[in-house]
Amino acid sequence: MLLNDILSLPVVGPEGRLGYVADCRFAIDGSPGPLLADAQLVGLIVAGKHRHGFLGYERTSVRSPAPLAWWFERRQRGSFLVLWEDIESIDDVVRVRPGYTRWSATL
Amino acid sequence: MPDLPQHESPGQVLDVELHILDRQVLDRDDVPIGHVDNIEVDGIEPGRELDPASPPVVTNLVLNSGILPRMFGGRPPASRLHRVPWSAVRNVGTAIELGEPGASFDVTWSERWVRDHVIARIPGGRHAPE
Amino acid sequence: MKKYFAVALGILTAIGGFVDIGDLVTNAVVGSRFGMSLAWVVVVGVVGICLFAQMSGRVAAISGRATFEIIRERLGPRAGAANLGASVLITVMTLTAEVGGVALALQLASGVQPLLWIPLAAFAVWLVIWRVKFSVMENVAGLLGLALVVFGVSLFLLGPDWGDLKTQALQQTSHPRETPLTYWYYAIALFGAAMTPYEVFFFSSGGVEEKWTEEDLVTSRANVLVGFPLGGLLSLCIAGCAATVLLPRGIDVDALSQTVFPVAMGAGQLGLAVVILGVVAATFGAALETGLSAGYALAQFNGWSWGKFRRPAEAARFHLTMIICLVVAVLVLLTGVDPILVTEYSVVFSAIALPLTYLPILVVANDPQYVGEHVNGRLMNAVSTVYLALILVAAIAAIPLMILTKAGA
Repeated sequence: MLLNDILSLPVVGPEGRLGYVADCRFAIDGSPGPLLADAQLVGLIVAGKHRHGFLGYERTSVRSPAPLAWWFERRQRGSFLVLWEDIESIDDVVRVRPGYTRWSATL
Repeated sequence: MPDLPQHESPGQVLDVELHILDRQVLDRDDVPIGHVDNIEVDGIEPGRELDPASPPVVTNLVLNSGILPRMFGGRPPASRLHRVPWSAVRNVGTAIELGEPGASFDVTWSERWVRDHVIARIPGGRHAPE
Repeated sequence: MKKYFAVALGILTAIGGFVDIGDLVTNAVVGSRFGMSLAWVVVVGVVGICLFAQMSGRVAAISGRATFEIIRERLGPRAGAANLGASVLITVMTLTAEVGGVALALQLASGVQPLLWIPLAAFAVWLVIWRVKFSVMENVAGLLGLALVVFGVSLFLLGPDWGDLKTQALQQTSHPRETPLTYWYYAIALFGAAMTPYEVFFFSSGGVEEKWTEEDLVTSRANVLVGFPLGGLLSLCIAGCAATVLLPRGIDVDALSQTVFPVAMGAGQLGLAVVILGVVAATFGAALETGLSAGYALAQFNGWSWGKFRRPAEAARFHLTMIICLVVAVLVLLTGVDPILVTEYSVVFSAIALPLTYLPILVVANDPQYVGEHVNGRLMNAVSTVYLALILVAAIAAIPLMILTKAGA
């Protein structure tokens, strides 16, 4: 499956629409390969309105220049990480299992 | 949202949109061969219930497969999906470095074609500038 | 000793390489119509290009990533491709203007029609790109471009009323013949001429070509912070010459001969010979820079192999792109379009395209993954944020002003 098909899909939880897939988080911690270990999906970043374009301000280490950081923080307010084990199915929408946990989206 | 719990993963954490898509890909000798346009994973079957115990893994990076589908949606023809297997990736930093020479990937065919049919035929094309 | 030599050489080439056809024409036009009242824009523009070049040079030296790789990575395919389209269009327009400028200057020197010089000039540009090493190319073009210092000498020899020039520069009032709208239109043109995006593509890619590392940062900073302001001073001398000679006589600049006319008046035949050499060198050097920049932009955006440090066969699509751009420039010029007119439009379009190039560089210059400990300091960020606002305002105002003033007519 191609990941661009997942990016920007709507995300639906038990209580209704949660937002859109803004990003997919991977970690290089799977079974070892010849050069790097496998990159495994950790979860999906779900954002409210704006689906992409934070120019890297998702990361806590970048806080300057202040006006830009402020602007992009505002834009991504309300985004969160849903772990893989909390995702039920993916087709035209991403369905999240009941009782899922919202994790912080920051790195 | 500072009140949400922070999830810690072992290993290098990569957000696809942020760290992988549109990054420059360099071959073993630091020669640029393309940009990442898409990523192929296995372990997701559309519509089926997903297995919480086996998260999808990246199988291939898809390089230079047309900017138009990414701008306007849709998908390039399968023949244009230039794949680079994840097993060839050596490092993910400000560029994605591979452990193999660029000639072993079909994404460089147009470079080779232009070289063989145009540039190498012009006098001096194979010599270093002085 | 060798180190000082490198710094001195870098500064000299930065001065000689700063002025191109855009600066030559726009400063002369502005001087002849508004006197020195727009001098402040040159100062603002020079500070801007210093900031911009410094940030992109730092990113290139430490991460090895040139400007258009960063634009693609940060802006993504949509905004990135829009930026690529605009940047390549403007860069090829500027390339056209520079090749035309070489032909016009050679016409002044020889009396032979520019139409004959155009293909020759373009072929010479290609030959240098194809065969000459990056550092040799940059140094020779930059040093010969220093001949333009004759504008400064002429200004002294003309013996203008310095007090009057100073009053013009401080009062910032437009000339009675002009409206405030044309005044602001030319302010944007002058800003665009000083802050052309291609200079940044060239500067950062040049850093990668010359394999800059952290240690080269000091040298690169000195080149920028000393060389560019002196280049800006040279621009002001061009405007000063025009303000002294052309403004009182009511001569409008619409040809290269009028730009160099004050030099002939101030410094005579010898001065004229030197200034023509300077114009040929400056426009030829800038033609090399714009030609390469078009190649850099396209290759970096698409992830192709690029660079003059490789053999042409090892950067085939990069070299093919530059050949195509040069052919396009020649074809455009052979239609008989006036290179001066192309220049006047290209500087305004530069101002319009600037924000999409400036923003990603500003963001990445703050990202430790790219520049490690060398992220922007507080002062740098304060100033560059003010410039972001300034660049946005100029870009937004440019098109309405262009329509309202009928492109400064």
